[in-house]
Amino acid sequence: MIYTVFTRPSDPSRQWHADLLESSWQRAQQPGELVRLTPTAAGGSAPAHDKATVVPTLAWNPHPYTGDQYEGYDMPASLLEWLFRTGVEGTVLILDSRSILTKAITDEVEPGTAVATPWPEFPSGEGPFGLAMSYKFVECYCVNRTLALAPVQPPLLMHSSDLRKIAPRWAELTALIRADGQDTHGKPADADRLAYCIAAAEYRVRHDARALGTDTSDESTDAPVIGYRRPVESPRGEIVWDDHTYEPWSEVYPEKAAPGAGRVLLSHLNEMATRIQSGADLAAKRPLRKGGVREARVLDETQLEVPGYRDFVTLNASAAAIWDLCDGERNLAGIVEELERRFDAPTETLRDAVRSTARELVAAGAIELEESV
Amino acid sequence: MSEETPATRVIDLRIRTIGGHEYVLPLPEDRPELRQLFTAFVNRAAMASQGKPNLVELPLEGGEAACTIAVDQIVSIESSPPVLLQLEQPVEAAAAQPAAQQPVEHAPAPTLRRPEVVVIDDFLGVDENTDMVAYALRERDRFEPGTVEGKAHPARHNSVVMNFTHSAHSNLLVNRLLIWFPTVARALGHEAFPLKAIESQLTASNDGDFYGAHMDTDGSKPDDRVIACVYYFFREPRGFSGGDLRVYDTLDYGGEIRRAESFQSIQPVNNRLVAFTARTFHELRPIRCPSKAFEDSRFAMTNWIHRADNPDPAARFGWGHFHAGTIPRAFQGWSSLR
Repeated sequence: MIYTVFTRPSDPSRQWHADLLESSWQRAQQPGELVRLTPTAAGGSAPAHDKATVVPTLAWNPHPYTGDQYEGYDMPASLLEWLFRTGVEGTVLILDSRSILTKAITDEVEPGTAVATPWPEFPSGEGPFGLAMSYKFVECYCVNRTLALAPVQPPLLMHSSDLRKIAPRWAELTALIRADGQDTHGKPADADRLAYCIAAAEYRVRHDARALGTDTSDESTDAPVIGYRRPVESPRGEIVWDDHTYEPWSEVYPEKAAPGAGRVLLSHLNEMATRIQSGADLAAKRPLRKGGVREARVLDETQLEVPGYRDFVTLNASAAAIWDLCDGERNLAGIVEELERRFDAPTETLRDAVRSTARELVAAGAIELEESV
Repeated sequence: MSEETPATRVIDLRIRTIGGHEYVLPLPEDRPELRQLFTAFVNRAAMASQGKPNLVELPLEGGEAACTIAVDQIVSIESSPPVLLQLEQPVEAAAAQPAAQQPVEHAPAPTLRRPEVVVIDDFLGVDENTDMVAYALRERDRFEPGTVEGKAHPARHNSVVMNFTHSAHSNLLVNRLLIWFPTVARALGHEAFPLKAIESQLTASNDGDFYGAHMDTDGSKPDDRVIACVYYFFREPRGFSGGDLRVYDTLDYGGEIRRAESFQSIQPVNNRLVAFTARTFHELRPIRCPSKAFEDSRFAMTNWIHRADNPDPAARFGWGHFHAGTIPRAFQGWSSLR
């Protein structure tokens, strides 16, 4: 069993990262389960997904004990929580949320050996663990400083039993490196990657280095995972796309990008944007009510009692209208068409409402979405 | 730690049980099981009337094996040389046990509760664990007999290093524990709370050592211990047997808590941490260590996480980077996160 795992806090403005990754996971026909670990503030709600299992976890950014703002805290802390609570066993593929899958990764690993992407900028030197001397401070917190570190980074494959051991140490070291370390830009930006390497070595997890991932500057398209923390550039080095400024789901222009991973990324993004803009994504999904769901009308609200769920699901008027149209015959596009006949609202608004309501109903266990041909 | 001296006699016991069975075993006269056996034998009628199982575990083959006997099945015990014991009541929970153990008239039917226990294996890295063992061995001369509320107590027989909090090895473990804290505390059913202190104690248990059933706090006096975390470490291959941690179920008489007879048993595995709510009856079962060598002891670092009545934003923990004296915003209301 392969669990493809990424971490993405609950932020509506950045939901598209998770949606894009989920879409790519499905398109690549990646086996196993897709898991989104969602650092969630107390009282907050976790987003819903069509396919991904959403696991709300405590938010560790900013760090609860130091106050430091650093997104690298969330991954190890969320992994610790998820693995402890669920006790899953299998191979875990860890991806950055700002990445897509272009091909399936089907390797499974045994305890004691991981597969990870080489880290070319690993800060090697004459210090402890073969690190640069600027990391001498880690000696205070590590018993054996002669361990050889594997210079690797995500995406990576590791067995859940190894991950369960190293995640707490990974989380702890990230905070210590951030607290005591300094690089040219201030606190070390790579603290989480370095902490991973040390933690893995301390628990004797060996690594096979393999290019599971690359970034948008790579001319090669062999790696199954493309990360897009770097902007996409044209052959002349001009920025043609940047995730910070991208407006989902506006059109992008892959042909403007230099050949390679950047162009592949934009092609994926464009395909998804076109499907969403045209509503084709809705036509591909047919909602099916799950057995045992009971319905009650309370004043102007509809309440659903879903077997196995503690709380009632309360639907407002628009969500109830959508629920009523989940008759097993219509796909989501058909529901939009019917709503267009009944209500005077822009098509795009109705589509968004149907998408979000369908996800909420999936998350509540009231329906499942059948992918239609 | 108990050590046999040339003057310690070996008592040959011949135990006859219902059905004509007979057990012959030698037992050093200073073994606590000897007193337990005769005490249980004398009190077997009372125990039976209360519906309580009355079992005694006796070591065999120099501690390599054990025999558990139902005392109510015993017909007679012969001892050679003869045993003359000043018998005492069955060992009760020490320190914090409520004084009255008699059935309460017209008491409501109790609710049996099983406490949550968190078990975390491979708590420290390989070298960290090895270093812990090396440290304990180096500190041999600092171990003193364990006490209960500062005094020797028949319910406790092991060795302790006092003033262990804030040592480097304590800080190492505490720092790791703070990363685990929200996960552990939630699993044990606690809401987030500000920390006042994390108190550490280092113990060594060798042949015959034990700590009878007790709670680390009973809530009746000012004691802000909330969670107890016991980290086990020892030299491998293991040179002892026994030493299980028993965590007892409780009987809740509408707020009055008593120890039940049923329990969970947790093995002392090297590099394992066990966490439970401090207000839980637990017991260290007797340890058998045939070599009696200090190096073969079962070591444990116990950490108690204390709740702060007055949150202190300046309080630092572990290596000194972590401020846990207030409830982090991210932890507030964590029980609602599912």
